[in-house]
Amino acid sequence: MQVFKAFYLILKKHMKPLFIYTGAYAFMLLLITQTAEDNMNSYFESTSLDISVIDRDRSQAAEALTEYLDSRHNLIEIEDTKKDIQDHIYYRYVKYILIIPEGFENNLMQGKTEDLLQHVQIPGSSQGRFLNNQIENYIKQVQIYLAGGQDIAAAMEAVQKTLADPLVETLYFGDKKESRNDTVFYFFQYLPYIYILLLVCGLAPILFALNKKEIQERTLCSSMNLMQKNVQILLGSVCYSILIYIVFAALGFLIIGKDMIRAETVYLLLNSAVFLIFAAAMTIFLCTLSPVNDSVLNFIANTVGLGMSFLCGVFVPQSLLSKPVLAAAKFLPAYWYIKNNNMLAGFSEEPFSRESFFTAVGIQALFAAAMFTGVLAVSKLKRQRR
Amino acid sequence: MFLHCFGYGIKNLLRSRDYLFWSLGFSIILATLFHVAFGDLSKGEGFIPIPTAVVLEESCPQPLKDVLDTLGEPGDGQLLEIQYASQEEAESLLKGKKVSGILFVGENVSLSVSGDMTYDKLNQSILQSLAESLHGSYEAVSEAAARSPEKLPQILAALQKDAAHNQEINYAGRNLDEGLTYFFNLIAMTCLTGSTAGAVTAAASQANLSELGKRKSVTPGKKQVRILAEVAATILMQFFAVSISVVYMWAVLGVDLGSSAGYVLLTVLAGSMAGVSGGFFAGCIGKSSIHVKIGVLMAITMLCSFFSGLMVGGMKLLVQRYAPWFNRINPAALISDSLYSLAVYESHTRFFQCIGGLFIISALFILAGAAMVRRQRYASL
Repeated sequence: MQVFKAFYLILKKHMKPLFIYTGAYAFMLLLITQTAEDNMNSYFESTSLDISVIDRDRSQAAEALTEYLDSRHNLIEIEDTKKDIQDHIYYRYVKYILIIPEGFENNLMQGKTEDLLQHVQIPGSSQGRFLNNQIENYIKQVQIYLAGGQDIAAAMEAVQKTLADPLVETLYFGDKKESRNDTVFYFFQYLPYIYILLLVCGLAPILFALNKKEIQERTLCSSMNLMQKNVQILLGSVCYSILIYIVFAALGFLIIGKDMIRAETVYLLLNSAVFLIFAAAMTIFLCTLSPVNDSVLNFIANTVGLGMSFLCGVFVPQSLLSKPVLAAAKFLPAYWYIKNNNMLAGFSEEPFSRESFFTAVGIQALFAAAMFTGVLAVSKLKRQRR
Repeated sequence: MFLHCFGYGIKNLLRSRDYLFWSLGFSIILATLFHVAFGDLSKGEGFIPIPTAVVLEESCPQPLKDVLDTLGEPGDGQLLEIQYASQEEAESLLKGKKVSGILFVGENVSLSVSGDMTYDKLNQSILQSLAESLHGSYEAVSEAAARSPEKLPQILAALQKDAAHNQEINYAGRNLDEGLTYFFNLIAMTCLTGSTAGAVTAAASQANLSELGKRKSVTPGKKQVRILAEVAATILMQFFAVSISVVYMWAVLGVDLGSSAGYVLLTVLAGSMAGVSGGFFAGCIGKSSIHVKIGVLMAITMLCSFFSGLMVGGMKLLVQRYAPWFNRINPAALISDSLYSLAVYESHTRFFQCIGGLFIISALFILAGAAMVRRQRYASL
């Protein structure tokens, strides 16, 4: 097991940067998961946004409108200055600022509709559109009551009463809301990026060292045949990958705790194990192609990791990607990984079925097999060239 | 002396073809992939009518039914794809994720959505707005008409009036494409990857870290001048590499980086300075090998980019909420903020605040690095 031993001696020399990478990415994953947990309770009722209202009219109507918005959203106080308004939108302290101009109540009573209110929003944001609809709906109802001859106070009160009726009921067909915790799915969603980075940055320097021309020639002229050498390198890579897998699975249990123990976890672990095999195969393939130095290695790892993550829906939900992009992403294993994750979590329209799950796992395994075949083909070509 | 070292610094970097190729290729490949992935993110694919199950109760007034029919009428203005169903059928459609919600329309309008369809929040919100609007308007019309039937024409006129009540004030100057922020963060990350080149420059000038450093340390020239010249050469090369990527994004991919090309290039220069000087500073600390230092720098670069929102869009907002000071010292956030303020705001105050921050950070790194390697003597190597 000389080569296997050499593998771990080289790994020992690279331990420091590897620890730093693992620590940095574990920290990143922890934050992503925690953030996802914050946003996670984003069931339907959570469309309550941080907004501000600047009341320049100080009228009864303006107060009623502010009260209505306060009942729906979190009102954050800001100063009525251009700088403060810009700062709050720029730093996203608030998503929307409604300005009730002087004369609002009078204009409303006179039936004027144009530019009754003003607002500042994050340019082009969907939250802005949502708030606009809500406010316009409110104003329209007030105007109907006013057209019916009611005074402003009565109209406002009537609208408040109508809009206070609970109209939306949320039905749960799966787990009850109280017991539902999606953190585990967010945790697994970001693993492909981390696996690619850690395998390329951790495994590649070792493989480059073992594939160095002089080292390779020394090994070739020894009694050890090529097959034995390759098997030992593969064994070393497998052990390293298993180590990474165990570290991140343990991290999952540490971050998520008892919620990790659920029926889907077995599927999630299997899905991530197969993706890890692909990441290892891809790293070995990249190393077989051409050796490069450390600084370049990071560029390659990030190009592959970030590229695949953005195209396949790791960082941006698959539902937001266009159909042609998704069609192209099908040629990348991370797509199938995320598809399985979405299916298990209920993040996509496709309900979970064992058949679809194992098909996607099989496709990832095929990608890994294709990479291994590529390694064999490239090694053979290189040997023949020599 | 300065120019001589500067020239050799440039030559040295030009000959590291691997590094040049990847520092350029990295951002160009990723920008192309971002362009492909986010090309349609803000444009959308046009509005697709929302599949909705409607349960009509016997008490449903005809006008409400007519409104629903209009909303479901095929054509440009179609908002809903309506399936009239019984309550059981509608619930089974919702359970099977075939519809975004169930509208119950009787004397009142109510809506049921599925808590399992967290991916469908936008459609659920639109349906909620619609339900509120239908319910509220119907209530308002019937109540007002019951109170003063003679005013029915005015009431109906108010109902049908479709006016823009709420004017948007454009403090922002321009509309910001959501996908653009990813490009800003990519440019920031590319600038910061210059830290590896900075660390290599630092190692190449220290006798205990590289062979080249040994040769350089026995030259009679002033060490500070030589180091400054080499750092300046690295910054210039990084600036050119990132500028090429930025030009590619702007000219080939059509990424709208704003109309002031000079300011964008100033951002790239400040960002490259921050990246290279940060790397130079790290390269000057301690005796760890260059591999370890590059590892640390790449991890820091990725963390800075992560906090500025490269991987998770809302991360910068979260940092702003809990640790706003970090956004003022995170070079990746400062670079992306500079580009953001250029693209969005007419005034350049905020832009210059960010650029000033980057220059201060760079100056501190270079001064601290230079102070660390100053007057170093080696008893043996």
